[in-house]
Amino acid sequence: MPEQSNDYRVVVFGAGGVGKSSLVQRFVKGTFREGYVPTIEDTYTQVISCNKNVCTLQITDTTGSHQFPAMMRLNITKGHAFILVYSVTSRQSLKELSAIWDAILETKNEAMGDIPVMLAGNKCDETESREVNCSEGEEQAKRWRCNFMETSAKTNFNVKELFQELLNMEKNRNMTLSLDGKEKKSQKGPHKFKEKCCLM
Amino acid sequence: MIEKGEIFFGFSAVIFRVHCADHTYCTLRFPLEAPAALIKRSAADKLGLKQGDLLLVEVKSTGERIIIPDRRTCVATGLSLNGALFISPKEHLDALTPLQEQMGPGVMDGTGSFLESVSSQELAYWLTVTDWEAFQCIHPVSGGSLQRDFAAKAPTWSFAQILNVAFIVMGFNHCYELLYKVLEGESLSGQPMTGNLDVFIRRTSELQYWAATEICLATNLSKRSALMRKFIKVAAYCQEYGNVNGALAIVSGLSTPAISRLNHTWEKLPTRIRKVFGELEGLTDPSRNHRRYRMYVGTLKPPVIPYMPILLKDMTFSHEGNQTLLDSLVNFEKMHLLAQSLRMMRACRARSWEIPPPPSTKSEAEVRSYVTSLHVIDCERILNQMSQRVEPRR
Repeated sequence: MPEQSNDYRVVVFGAGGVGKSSLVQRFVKGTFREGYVPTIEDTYTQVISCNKNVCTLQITDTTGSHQFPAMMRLNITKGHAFILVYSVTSRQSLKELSAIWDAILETKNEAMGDIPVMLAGNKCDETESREVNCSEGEEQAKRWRCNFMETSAKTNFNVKELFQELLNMEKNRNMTLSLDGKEKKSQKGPHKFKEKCCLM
Repeated sequence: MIEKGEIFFGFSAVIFRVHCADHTYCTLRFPLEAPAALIKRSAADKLGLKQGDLLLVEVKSTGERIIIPDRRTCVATGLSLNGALFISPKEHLDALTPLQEQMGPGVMDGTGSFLESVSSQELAYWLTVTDWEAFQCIHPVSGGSLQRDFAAKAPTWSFAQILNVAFIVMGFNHCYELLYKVLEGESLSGQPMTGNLDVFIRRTSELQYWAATEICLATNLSKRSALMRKFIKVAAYCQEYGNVNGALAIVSGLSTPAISRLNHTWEKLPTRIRKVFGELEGLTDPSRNHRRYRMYVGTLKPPVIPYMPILLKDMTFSHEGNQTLLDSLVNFEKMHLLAQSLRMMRACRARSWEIPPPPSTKSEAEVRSYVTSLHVIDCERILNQMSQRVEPRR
Protein backbone atom coordinates (compact mmCIF):
# COMPACT_ATOMS: atom_id res chain seq x y z
CA MET A 1 0.00 0.00 0.00
CA PRO A 2 1.51 3.33 -0.96
CA GLU A 3 2.17 5.62 1.97
CA GLN A 4 0.91 9.16 1.63
CA SER A 5 4.19 10.82 2.40
CA ASN A 6 2.71 14.26 2.07
CA ASP A 7 0.85 13.93 5.35
CA TYR A 8 2.38 14.79 8.67
CA ARG A 9 0.47 13.15 11.45
CA VAL A 10 0.36 14.59 14.93
CA VAL A 11 -1.40 12.67 17.69
CA VAL A 12 -2.61 14.36 20.85
CA PHE A 13 -2.74 12.19 23.97
CA GLY A 14 -3.72 12.85 27.57
CA ALA A 15 -6.12 11.96 30.35
CA GLY A 16 -9.81 12.77 30.10
CA GLY A 17 -10.84 16.40 30.46
CA VAL A 18 -7.37 17.98 30.31
CA GLY A 19 -8.31 19.97 27.22
CA LYS A 20 -6.94 18.02 24.27
CA SER A 21 -9.91 18.84 22.06
CA SER A 22 -9.92 22.43 23.23
CA LEU A 23 -6.25 22.84 22.31
CA VAL A 24 -6.75 21.27 18.90
CA GLN A 25 -9.90 23.23 18.18
CA ARG A 26 -8.29 26.48 19.29
CA PHE A 27 -5.40 25.75 16.97
CA VAL A 28 -7.43 24.60 13.96
CA LYS A 29 -10.54 26.74 14.20
CA GLY A 30 -9.53 29.46 16.60
CA THR A 31 -12.55 28.79 18.77
CA PHE A 32 -13.06 27.76 22.37
CA ARG A 33 -16.09 26.05 23.86
CA GLU A 34 -16.97 25.98 27.51
CA GLY A 35 -18.43 22.67 28.61
CA TYR A 36 -17.09 19.18 28.25
CA VAL A 37 -17.97 16.79 25.45
CA PRO A 38 -15.90 13.60 25.73
CA THR A 39 -14.10 12.78 22.51
CA ILE A 40 -13.85 9.29 21.10
CA GLU A 41 -11.53 10.14 18.24
CA ASP A 42 -11.58 13.01 15.79
CA THR A 43 -9.17 14.18 13.14
CA TYR A 44 -8.45 17.61 11.77
CA THR A 45 -6.31 18.81 8.93
CA GLN A 46 -4.38 21.99 8.43
CA VAL A 47 -2.38 22.94 5.40
CA ILE A 48 1.17 23.92 6.29
CA SER A 49 4.39 24.56 4.46
CA CYS A 50 6.96 21.80 4.45
CA ASN A 51 10.33 21.94 2.69
CA LYS A 52 8.94 24.89 0.72
CA ASN A 53 6.04 22.73 -0.40
CA VAL A 54 2.48 22.44 0.77
CA CYS A 55 1.69 19.52 3.03
CA THR A 56 -1.19 18.49 5.23
CA LEU A 57 -0.85 18.49 8.95
CA GLN A 58 -3.17 15.78 10.19
CA ILE A 59 -4.07 16.10 13.84
CA THR A 60 -5.66 13.19 15.65
CA ASP A 61 -7.51 14.11 18.80
CA THR A 62 -7.78 10.95 20.90
CA THR A 63 -9.95 9.78 23.75
CA GLY A 64 -8.93 10.44 27.32
CA SER A 65 -10.51 7.28 28.64
CA HIS A 66 -8.68 3.99 28.40
CA GLN A 67 -11.51 2.13 26.75
CA PHE A 68 -9.70 1.53 23.49
CA PRO A 69 -6.10 0.40 23.99
CA ALA A 70 -5.95 -1.02 20.47
CA MET A 71 -6.76 2.36 19.01
CA MET A 72 -4.02 3.99 21.06
CA ARG A 73 -1.41 1.57 19.69
CA LEU A 74 -2.59 2.14 16.15
CA ASN A 75 -2.37 5.90 16.59
CA ILE A 76 1.15 5.64 17.95
CA THR A 77 2.19 3.48 15.01
CA LYS A 78 0.74 5.91 12.52
CA GLY A 79 1.83 9.12 14.23
CA HIS A 80 4.92 11.14 13.29
CA ALA A 81 4.83 13.46 16.30
CA PHE A 82 3.03 13.56 19.62
CA ILE A 83 1.64 16.09 22.02
CA LEU A 84 1.16 14.87 25.58
CA VAL A 85 -1.31 17.04 27.43
CA TYR A 86 -1.95 17.26 31.15
CA SER A 87 -3.85 19.80 33.15
CA VAL A 88 -1.94 21.95 35.62
CA THR A 89 -5.00 21.62 37.85
CA SER A 90 -4.58 17.86 38.19
CA ARG A 91 -1.43 16.06 39.27
CA GLN A 92 -3.12 12.78 38.41
CA SER A 93 -3.37 13.83 34.76
CA LEU A 94 0.42 14.27 34.62
CA LYS A 95 0.94 10.86 36.20
CA GLU A 96 -1.35 9.20 33.68
CA LEU A 97 0.90 10.37 30.84
CA SER A 98 3.62 7.94 31.95
CA ALA A 99 1.66 4.98 30.61
CA ILE A 100 1.26 6.71 27.26
CA TRP A 101 4.93 7.67 27.17
CA ASP A 102 5.87 4.04 27.84
CA ALA A 103 3.56 2.89 25.06
CA ILE A 104 5.15 5.33 22.62
CA LEU A 105 8.64 4.20 23.64
CA GLU A 106 7.69 0.58 23.21
CA THR A 107 5.98 0.99 19.85
CA LYS A 108 8.56 3.31 18.30
CA ASN A 109 11.58 1.37 19.33
CA GLU A 110 13.90 3.64 17.43
CA ALA A 111 15.94 6.34 19.10
CA MET A 112 13.28 8.40 20.83
CA GLY A 113 15.31 11.54 20.23
CA ASP A 114 14.20 11.51 16.61
CA ILE A 115 10.51 11.67 17.34
CA PRO A 116 9.11 15.09 18.16
CA VAL A 117 7.19 15.06 21.44
CA MET A 118 5.81 18.08 23.25
CA LEU A 119 4.64 18.00 26.84
CA ALA A 120 1.89 20.56 27.39
CA GLY A 121 0.55 21.74 30.74
CA ASN A 122 -2.85 23.05 29.77
CA LYS A 123 -5.31 25.25 31.66
CA CYS A 124 -2.50 27.49 32.96
CA ASP A 125 -5.06 30.30 33.21
CA GLU A 126 -6.66 28.55 36.17
CA THR A 127 -4.23 29.91 38.77
CA GLU A 128 -6.61 29.27 41.66
CA SER A 129 -6.81 25.52 41.30
CA ARG A 130 -3.29 24.85 40.12
CA GLU A 131 -1.78 21.63 41.45
CA VAL A 132 1.28 21.21 39.26
CA ASN A 133 4.01 23.83 39.19
CA CYS A 134 5.66 24.86 35.99
CA SER A 135 8.98 23.49 37.24
CA GLU A 136 7.50 20.05 37.74
CA GLY A 137 6.41 19.97 34.13
CA GLU A 138 9.88 21.04 33.08
CA GLU A 139 11.49 18.31 35.11
CA GLN A 140 9.23 15.69 33.67
CA ALA A 141 10.03 16.94 30.17
CA LYS A 142 13.74 16.75 30.93
CA ARG A 143 13.37 13.17 32.08
CA TRP A 144 11.54 12.28 28.91
CA ARG A 145 13.88 14.41 26.82
CA CYS A 146 11.05 16.26 25.13
CA ASN A 147 10.12 19.93 25.09
CA PHE A 148 7.67 21.58 27.41
CA MET A 149 5.21 24.46 27.38
CA GLU A 150 2.38 25.64 29.53
CA THR A 151 -0.69 26.50 27.51
CA SER A 152 -4.24 27.73 27.80
CA ALA A 153 -6.73 26.92 25.11
CA LYS A 154 -9.18 29.26 26.80
CA THR A 155 -7.06 32.40 26.63
CA ASN A 156 -5.25 31.23 23.49
CA PHE A 157 -1.95 31.26 25.26
CA ASN A 158 0.97 29.40 23.64
CA VAL A 159 -1.35 27.29 21.48
CA LYS A 160 0.14 28.09 18.11
CA GLU A 161 3.59 28.15 19.68
CA LEU A 162 3.03 24.61 20.94
CA PHE A 163 2.40 23.27 17.46
CA GLN A 164 5.15 25.36 15.88
CA GLU A 165 7.65 24.12 18.44
CA LEU A 166 6.60 20.54 17.73
CA LEU A 167 7.13 21.02 14.01
CA ASN A 168 10.50 22.66 14.67
CA MET A 169 11.61 19.51 16.46
CA GLU A 170 11.17 17.43 13.32
CA LYS A 171 14.64 17.15 11.85
CA ASN A 172 13.71 15.35 8.64
CA ARG A 173 11.46 18.09 7.34
CA ASN A 174 11.43 21.83 7.54
CA MET A 175 7.92 22.85 8.45
CA THR A 176 6.25 26.13 9.26
CA LEU A 177 2.65 26.77 10.15
CA SER A 178 2.00 29.84 8.07
CA LEU A 179 1.72 29.51 4.32
CA ASP A 180 1.83 33.24 3.92
CA GLY A 181 1.47 36.30 6.10
CA LYS A 182 -2.29 36.23 6.39
CA GLU A 183 -2.30 33.90 9.38
CA LYS A 184 -0.74 36.54 11.58
CA LYS A 185 -3.62 37.99 13.48
CA SER A 186 -3.20 40.34 16.38
CA GLN A 187 -3.18 38.17 19.45
CA LYS A 188 -5.20 39.05 22.46
CA GLY A 189 -4.56 38.10 26.03
CA PRO A 190 -1.43 38.29 28.16
CA HIS A 191 2.03 38.58 26.71
CA LYS A 192 3.30 35.63 24.80
CA PHE A 193 6.23 33.90 26.33
CA LYS A 194 8.24 31.63 24.19
CA GLU A 195 8.89 28.92 26.71
CA LYS A 196 9.73 28.21 30.30
CA CYS A 197 7.42 30.75 31.72
CA CYS A 198 5.98 30.52 35.15
CA LEU A 199 2.60 31.98 35.86
CA MET A 200 1.77 31.94 39.50
CA MET B 1 -16.04 -1.26 15.84
CA ILE B 2 -19.22 -3.24 16.11
CA GLU B 3 -18.83 -6.11 18.55
CA LYS B 4 -20.00 -9.51 17.47
CA GLY B 5 -21.90 -11.85 19.73
CA GLU B 6 -23.59 -9.06 21.65
CA ILE B 7 -27.34 -8.54 21.47
CA PHE B 8 -28.37 -5.14 20.17
CA PHE B 9 -31.46 -3.28 21.15
CA GLY B 10 -32.71 -0.05 19.69
CA PHE B 11 -31.11 1.80 22.57
CA SER B 12 -27.73 0.05 22.29
CA ALA B 13 -24.99 2.56 21.62
CA VAL B 14 -22.55 1.89 18.82
CA ILE B 15 -19.38 3.77 18.01
CA PHE B 16 -18.59 4.64 14.43
CA ARG B 17 -16.75 7.15 12.27
CA VAL B 18 -18.12 9.71 9.87
CA HIS B 19 -15.64 10.87 7.23
CA CYS B 20 -15.27 13.98 5.08
CA ALA B 21 -14.11 14.08 1.48
CA ASP B 22 -10.52 14.74 2.67
CA HIS B 23 -10.71 11.56 4.83
CA THR B 24 -10.67 13.42 8.13
CA TYR B 25 -13.22 11.95 10.46
CA CYS B 26 -15.03 12.31 13.72
CA THR B 27 -16.05 9.41 15.91
CA LEU B 28 -19.61 9.36 17.14
CA ARG B 29 -21.53 7.29 19.64
CA PHE B 30 -25.23 6.87 19.03
CA PRO B 31 -27.95 4.36 19.84
CA LEU B 32 -28.94 2.20 16.88
CA GLU B 33 -32.39 3.75 16.80
CA ALA B 34 -30.97 7.21 16.11
CA PRO B 35 -32.17 8.33 12.69
CA ALA B 36 -29.67 9.32 10.00
CA ALA B 37 -30.76 12.96 10.21
CA LEU B 38 -29.58 13.18 13.82
CA ILE B 39 -26.25 11.56 13.04
CA LYS B 40 -25.79 13.96 10.14
CA ARG B 41 -26.42 17.00 12.32
CA SER B 42 -24.04 15.86 14.99
CA ALA B 43 -21.29 14.98 12.50
CA ALA B 44 -21.65 18.32 10.72
CA ASP B 45 -21.34 20.10 14.04
CA LYS B 46 -18.20 18.18 15.02
CA LEU B 47 -16.56 18.49 11.63
CA GLY B 48 -17.40 22.18 11.36
CA LEU B 49 -19.52 21.83 8.22
CA LYS B 50 -22.29 24.29 7.51
CA GLN B 51 -25.68 22.71 8.19
CA GLY B 52 -27.97 22.70 5.22
CA ASP B 53 -27.72 20.68 2.05
CA LEU B 54 -25.66 17.90 3.56
CA LEU B 55 -25.94 14.22 2.75
CA LEU B 56 -25.00 11.18 4.79
CA VAL B 57 -23.49 8.71 2.35
CA GLU B 58 -22.11 5.21 2.41
CA VAL B 59 -19.06 4.87 0.18
CA LYS B 60 -18.35 1.26 -0.72
CA SER B 61 -14.89 -0.08 -1.40
CA THR B 62 -15.85 -0.14 -5.07
CA GLY B 63 -16.33 3.63 -4.94
CA GLU B 64 -20.09 3.34 -5.24
CA ARG B 65 -21.97 5.98 -3.22
CA ILE B 66 -25.29 5.31 -1.55
CA ILE B 67 -27.23 8.17 -0.03
CA ILE B 68 -28.72 7.29 3.35
CA PRO B 69 -32.24 8.65 3.79
CA ASP B 70 -32.82 10.90 6.79
CA ARG B 71 -35.23 8.51 8.47
CA ARG B 72 -33.06 5.41 8.27
CA THR B 73 -32.08 3.86 11.59
CA CYS B 74 -29.34 1.29 12.31
CA VAL B 75 -27.03 3.29 10.09
CA ALA B 76 -23.78 1.87 11.47
CA THR B 77 -24.79 -1.78 11.31
CA GLY B 78 -26.46 -1.37 7.92
CA LEU B 79 -23.24 -0.56 6.04
CA SER B 80 -21.86 -3.05 3.55
CA LEU B 81 -18.87 -5.11 4.65
CA ASN B 82 -16.05 -2.64 4.02
CA GLY B 83 -18.36 0.33 3.56
CA ALA B 84 -17.66 3.62 5.34
CA LEU B 85 -19.88 6.54 6.31
CA PHE B 86 -19.24 9.94 4.78
CA ILE B 87 -20.86 13.32 5.05
CA SER B 88 -20.79 15.76 2.17
CA PRO B 89 -22.58 18.77 0.72
CA LYS B 90 -25.01 17.69 -1.98
CA GLU B 91 -23.05 19.31 -4.78
CA HIS B 92 -19.71 17.73 -3.83
CA LEU B 93 -20.86 14.14 -3.76
CA ASP B 94 -18.48 13.27 -6.61
CA ALA B 95 -15.48 14.13 -4.46
CA LEU B 96 -16.03 11.20 -2.09
CA THR B 97 -13.52 8.39 -2.53
CA PRO B 98 -13.05 5.20 -0.49
CA LEU B 99 -10.49 5.17 2.32
CA GLN B 100 -7.29 3.18 2.03
CA GLU B 101 -8.43 0.85 4.81
CA GLN B 102 -11.61 -0.02 2.90
CA MET B 103 -9.51 -1.76 0.26
CA GLY B 104 -8.78 -4.59 2.67
CA PRO B 105 -5.51 -6.44 3.21
CA GLY B 106 -2.57 -5.83 0.89
CA VAL B 107 -0.33 -8.31 -0.89
CA MET B 108 1.78 -8.92 2.21
CA ASP B 109 -1.14 -9.30 4.60
CA GLY B 110 -2.40 -12.76 3.70
CA THR B 111 -2.96 -15.06 6.67
CA GLY B 112 -2.21 -18.23 4.71
CA SER B 113 0.57 -19.35 7.03
CA PHE B 114 -1.69 -19.02 10.08
CA LEU B 115 -4.41 -20.99 8.32
CA GLU B 116 -1.93 -23.71 7.47
CA SER B 117 -1.11 -24.14 11.14
CA VAL B 118 -4.70 -24.64 12.32
CA SER B 119 -6.72 -27.77 11.67
CA SER B 120 -9.75 -27.35 9.42
CA GLN B 121 -12.03 -28.85 12.03
CA GLU B 122 -10.86 -26.43 14.67
CA LEU B 123 -11.36 -23.45 12.38
CA ALA B 124 -14.84 -24.66 11.46
CA TYR B 125 -15.68 -25.20 15.11
CA TRP B 126 -14.80 -21.68 16.21
CA LEU B 127 -16.35 -20.17 13.11
CA THR B 128 -19.57 -21.94 13.98
CA VAL B 129 -19.41 -20.85 17.63
CA THR B 130 -19.11 -17.24 16.46
CA ASP B 131 -21.80 -17.58 13.80
CA TRP B 132 -24.17 -19.28 16.19
CA GLU B 133 -23.76 -16.46 18.69
CA ALA B 134 -24.58 -13.91 16.01
CA PHE B 135 -27.46 -16.03 14.72
CA GLN B 136 -28.99 -16.33 18.17
CA CYS B 137 -28.89 -12.57 18.62
CA ILE B 138 -31.28 -11.94 15.74
CA HIS B 139 -34.56 -10.32 16.77
CA PRO B 140 -34.72 -10.86 20.48
CA VAL B 141 -36.75 -7.63 20.57
CA SER B 142 -39.96 -8.21 22.41
CA GLY B 143 -43.02 -7.21 20.49
CA GLY B 144 -44.49 -5.29 23.40
CA SER B 145 -42.96 -1.88 22.88
CA LEU B 146 -43.41 -2.08 19.14
CA GLN B 147 -47.04 -3.03 19.50
CA ARG B 148 -47.60 -0.01 21.71
CA ASP B 149 -45.74 2.07 19.19
CA PHE B 150 -47.97 0.95 16.39
CA ALA B 151 -51.19 1.01 18.35
CA ALA B 152 -50.69 4.66 19.17
CA LYS B 153 -50.58 5.52 15.53
CA ALA B 154 -53.90 4.00 14.45
CA PRO B 155 -56.28 4.46 12.63
CA THR B 156 -54.27 4.92 9.41
CA TRP B 157 -52.76 1.48 9.40
CA SER B 158 -49.36 1.04 7.89
CA PHE B 159 -48.20 -2.22 6.49
CA ALA B 160 -46.20 -2.91 9.60
CA GLN B 161 -49.23 -2.43 11.79
CA ILE B 162 -51.25 -4.86 9.77
CA LEU B 163 -48.43 -7.35 9.97
CA ASN B 164 -48.17 -6.78 13.64
CA VAL B 165 -51.81 -7.55 14.28
CA ALA B 166 -51.77 -10.44 11.86
CA PHE B 167 -48.77 -12.01 13.53
CA ILE B 168 -50.18 -11.63 17.00
CA VAL B 169 -53.21 -13.53 15.74
CA MET B 170 -50.85 -16.24 14.51
CA GLY B 171 -48.80 -16.28 17.67
CA PHE B 172 -45.65 -14.56 16.46
CA ASN B 173 -44.56 -11.54 18.37
CA HIS B 174 -40.82 -11.51 18.18
CA CYS B 175 -39.76 -11.70 14.58
CA TYR B 176 -39.41 -8.08 13.67
CA GLU B 177 -35.86 -7.92 12.43
CA LEU B 178 -36.40 -10.17 9.44
CA LEU B 179 -39.64 -8.41 8.61
CA TYR B 180 -38.08 -4.99 8.90
CA LYS B 181 -35.26 -6.03 6.62
CA VAL B 182 -37.70 -7.18 3.99
CA LEU B 183 -39.78 -4.05 4.42
CA GLU B 184 -36.81 -1.71 4.06
CA GLY B 185 -37.91 1.26 2.00
CA GLU B 186 -41.57 1.02 3.01
CA SER B 187 -42.51 3.92 5.19
CA LEU B 188 -42.82 2.47 8.65
CA SER B 189 -44.04 3.99 11.81
CA GLY B 190 -41.87 3.30 14.82
CA GLN B 191 -38.14 2.78 14.49
CA PRO B 192 -37.17 -0.34 12.61
CA MET B 193 -34.46 -2.24 14.38
CA THR B 194 -32.38 -4.62 12.29
CA GLY B 195 -29.00 -4.36 14.03
CA ASN B 196 -28.55 -8.01 14.91
CA LEU B 197 -29.66 -9.26 11.54
CA ASP B 198 -27.36 -6.70 9.91
CA VAL B 199 -24.41 -8.09 11.85
CA PHE B 200 -25.29 -11.61 10.78
CA ILE B 201 -25.67 -10.66 7.11
CA ARG B 202 -22.33 -8.88 7.20
CA ARG B 203 -20.80 -11.96 8.74
CA THR B 204 -22.13 -14.07 5.88
CA SER B 205 -20.53 -11.85 3.25
CA GLU B 206 -17.37 -11.67 5.35
CA LEU B 207 -16.99 -15.46 5.19
CA GLN B 208 -17.61 -15.40 1.47
CA TYR B 209 -14.94 -12.77 0.77
CA TRP B 210 -12.58 -14.30 3.31
CA ALA B 211 -12.13 -17.43 1.18
CA ALA B 212 -11.72 -15.42 -2.02
CA THR B 213 -9.32 -12.91 -0.43
CA GLU B 214 -6.97 -15.42 1.13
CA ILE B 215 -6.71 -17.49 -2.04
CA CYS B 216 -6.02 -14.44 -4.20
CA LEU B 217 -3.37 -13.29 -1.73
CA ALA B 218 -1.43 -16.56 -2.04
CA THR B 219 0.95 -16.04 -4.94
CA ASN B 220 2.51 -19.49 -4.82
CA LEU B 221 0.54 -22.13 -6.73
CA SER B 222 0.95 -25.01 -4.29
CA LYS B 223 0.21 -22.77 -1.31
CA ARG B 224 -2.88 -21.51 -3.09
CA SER B 225 -4.05 -25.00 -3.80
CA ALA B 226 -3.43 -26.03 -0.18
CA LEU B 227 -5.52 -23.06 0.95
CA MET B 228 -8.31 -23.98 -1.40
CA ARG B 229 -8.29 -27.48 0.03
CA LYS B 230 -8.38 -25.99 3.51
CA PHE B 231 -11.40 -23.82 2.76
CA ILE B 232 -13.31 -26.72 1.24
CA LYS B 233 -12.58 -28.82 4.30
CA VAL B 234 -13.61 -25.97 6.61
CA ALA B 235 -16.87 -25.65 4.67
CA ALA B 236 -17.49 -29.39 4.98
CA TYR B 237 -16.87 -29.31 8.73
CA CYS B 238 -19.17 -26.28 9.06
CA GLN B 239 -21.86 -28.28 7.32
CA GLU B 240 -21.30 -31.14 9.75
CA TYR B 241 -21.67 -28.73 12.64
CA GLY B 242 -25.04 -27.55 11.29
CA ASN B 243 -23.60 -24.23 10.11
CA VAL B 244 -25.14 -24.39 6.64
CA ASN B 245 -24.86 -20.63 6.31
CA GLY B 246 -21.11 -20.67 6.94
CA ALA B 247 -20.52 -23.65 4.67
CA LEU B 248 -22.44 -22.19 1.75
CA ALA B 249 -20.93 -18.72 2.28
CA ILE B 250 -17.43 -20.18 1.91
CA VAL B 251 -18.50 -22.29 -1.06
CA SER B 252 -20.04 -19.31 -2.82
CA GLY B 253 -16.81 -17.42 -2.13
CA LEU B 254 -14.94 -20.19 -3.94
CA SER B 255 -17.44 -20.02 -6.81
CA THR B 256 -16.91 -16.32 -7.52
CA PRO B 257 -15.37 -15.58 -10.94
CA ALA B 258 -12.05 -14.51 -9.40
CA ILE B 259 -11.58 -17.94 -7.83
CA SER B 260 -13.36 -20.29 -10.21
CA ARG B 261 -11.11 -19.18 -13.07
CA LEU B 262 -7.95 -20.38 -11.27
CA ASN B 263 -7.70 -23.59 -13.28
CA HIS B 264 -4.18 -24.54 -12.19
CA THR B 265 -5.18 -24.29 -8.56
CA TRP B 266 -8.29 -26.41 -9.00
CA GLU B 267 -6.36 -29.01 -11.01
CA LYS B 268 -3.97 -29.58 -8.14
CA LEU B 269 -6.78 -30.56 -5.76
CA PRO B 270 -7.20 -34.25 -4.93
CA THR B 271 -10.30 -35.81 -6.55
CA ARG B 272 -11.80 -36.54 -3.15
CA ILE B 273 -11.72 -32.85 -2.16
CA ARG B 274 -13.15 -31.82 -5.51
CA LYS B 275 -16.01 -34.22 -4.95
CA VAL B 276 -16.70 -32.69 -1.53
CA PHE B 277 -16.76 -29.26 -3.12
CA GLY B 278 -19.06 -30.47 -5.91
CA GLU B 279 -21.56 -31.77 -3.37
CA LEU B 280 -21.53 -28.54 -1.38
CA GLU B 281 -21.76 -26.43 -4.50
CA GLY B 282 -24.77 -28.46 -5.58
CA LEU B 283 -26.65 -27.08 -2.58
CA THR B 284 -26.31 -23.57 -3.98
CA ASP B 285 -27.94 -24.64 -7.25
CA PRO B 286 -30.84 -22.21 -7.76
CA SER B 287 -32.83 -24.41 -10.15
CA ARG B 288 -36.42 -25.29 -9.26
CA ASN B 289 -36.42 -22.64 -6.57
CA HIS B 290 -33.39 -24.01 -4.70
CA ARG B 291 -34.90 -27.44 -4.52
CA ARG B 292 -31.72 -29.23 -3.55
CA TYR B 293 -31.01 -26.84 -0.72
CA ARG B 294 -34.58 -27.07 0.60
CA MET B 295 -34.61 -30.87 0.44
CA TYR B 296 -31.32 -30.97 2.31
CA VAL B 297 -32.27 -28.48 5.04
CA GLY B 298 -35.57 -30.31 5.50
CA THR B 299 -33.66 -33.39 6.64
CA LEU B 300 -31.64 -31.56 9.30
CA LYS B 301 -32.39 -31.50 13.00
CA PRO B 302 -31.83 -28.36 15.07
CA PRO B 303 -29.56 -26.64 15.93
CA VAL B 304 -29.03 -25.42 12.37
CA ILE B 305 -27.92 -22.09 10.95
CA PRO B 306 -29.85 -21.85 7.66
CA TYR B 307 -28.45 -20.05 4.63
CA MET B 308 -29.65 -16.54 5.32
CA PRO B 309 -29.63 -15.18 1.75
CA ILE B 310 -32.23 -17.77 0.69
CA LEU B 311 -34.40 -17.10 3.75
CA LEU B 312 -34.37 -13.37 3.06
CA LYS B 313 -35.01 -13.94 -0.62
CA ASP B 314 -38.08 -16.03 0.20
CA MET B 315 -39.45 -13.35 2.48
CA THR B 316 -38.80 -10.60 -0.04
CA PHE B 317 -40.64 -12.54 -2.72
CA SER B 318 -43.56 -13.31 -0.41
CA HIS B 319 -43.80 -9.64 0.39
CA GLU B 320 -43.35 -8.14 -3.03
CA GLY B 321 -45.35 -10.71 -4.93
CA ASN B 322 -48.46 -10.47 -2.77
CA GLN B 323 -50.76 -7.65 -1.78
CA THR B 324 -51.20 -6.93 1.88
CA LEU B 325 -54.78 -5.80 1.59
CA LEU B 326 -57.43 -7.23 -0.71
CA ASP B 327 -60.62 -5.14 -0.78
CA SER B 328 -59.49 -3.67 2.55
CA LEU B 329 -59.23 -7.14 4.07
CA VAL B 330 -55.91 -8.37 5.41
CA ASN B 331 -54.41 -10.96 3.08
CA PHE B 332 -53.77 -13.76 5.53
CA GLU B 333 -52.46 -16.00 2.78
CA LYS B 334 -49.50 -13.65 2.53
CA MET B 335 -49.06 -13.53 6.29
CA HIS B 336 -48.90 -17.32 6.29
CA LEU B 337 -46.21 -17.26 3.63
CA LEU B 338 -44.11 -14.84 5.66
CA ALA B 339 -44.82 -16.77 8.83
CA GLN B 340 -43.54 -19.92 7.20
CA SER B 341 -40.08 -18.40 6.87
CA LEU B 342 -40.18 -17.18 10.43
CA ARG B 343 -41.29 -20.59 11.63
CA MET B 344 -38.34 -22.13 9.86
CA MET B 345 -36.06 -19.69 11.64
CA ARG B 346 -37.59 -20.64 14.97
CA ALA B 347 -37.29 -24.35 14.27
CA CYS B 348 -33.58 -23.96 13.50
CA ARG B 349 -32.98 -22.48 16.91
CA ALA B 350 -35.23 -24.86 18.83
CA ARG B 351 -32.15 -26.33 20.46
CA SER B 352 -29.00 -24.50 21.42
CA TRP B 353 -25.66 -25.36 19.87
CA GLU B 354 -23.51 -27.19 22.40
CA ILE B 355 -20.75 -29.29 20.95
CA PRO B 356 -17.41 -29.77 22.72
CA PRO B 357 -14.39 -28.36 20.88
CA PRO B 358 -12.25 -30.71 18.77
CA PRO B 359 -8.68 -31.58 19.75
CA SER B 360 -6.77 -28.35 19.36
CA THR B 361 -3.65 -27.58 17.41
CA LYS B 362 -3.52 -23.94 18.43
CA SER B 363 -4.55 -22.00 21.47
CA GLU B 364 -8.28 -21.46 21.64
CA ALA B 365 -7.97 -17.72 22.17
CA GLU B 366 -5.77 -17.37 19.11
CA VAL B 367 -8.17 -19.16 16.78
CA ARG B 368 -11.18 -17.37 18.25
CA SER B 369 -9.66 -13.96 17.86
CA TYR B 370 -8.71 -14.86 14.29
CA VAL B 371 -12.21 -15.93 13.25
CA THR B 372 -13.82 -12.89 14.83
CA SER B 373 -11.54 -10.37 13.14
CA LEU B 374 -11.22 -11.39 9.51
CA HIS B 375 -9.86 -8.76 7.14
CA VAL B 376 -11.11 -9.14 3.63
CA ILE B 377 -11.26 -7.49 0.22
CA ASP B 378 -14.92 -7.00 -0.68
CA CYS B 379 -14.34 -5.40 -4.05
CA GLU B 380 -14.78 -7.84 -6.94
CA ARG B 381 -12.73 -5.65 -9.23
CA ILE B 382 -9.66 -5.86 -6.99
CA LEU B 383 -10.14 -9.59 -6.51
CA ASN B 384 -10.35 -10.10 -10.26
CA GLN B 385 -7.17 -8.10 -10.81
CA MET B 386 -5.34 -10.13 -8.18
CA SER B 387 -6.65 -13.34 -9.67
CA GLN B 388 -5.33 -12.29 -13.10
CA ARG B 389 -1.97 -11.54 -11.54
CA VAL B 390 -1.52 -14.91 -9.82
CA GLU B 391 -2.70 -16.88 -12.86
CA PRO B 392 -2.53 -14.73 -16.00
CA ARG B 393 -4.80 -15.68 -18.83
CA ARG B 394 -3.00 -17.61 -21.54
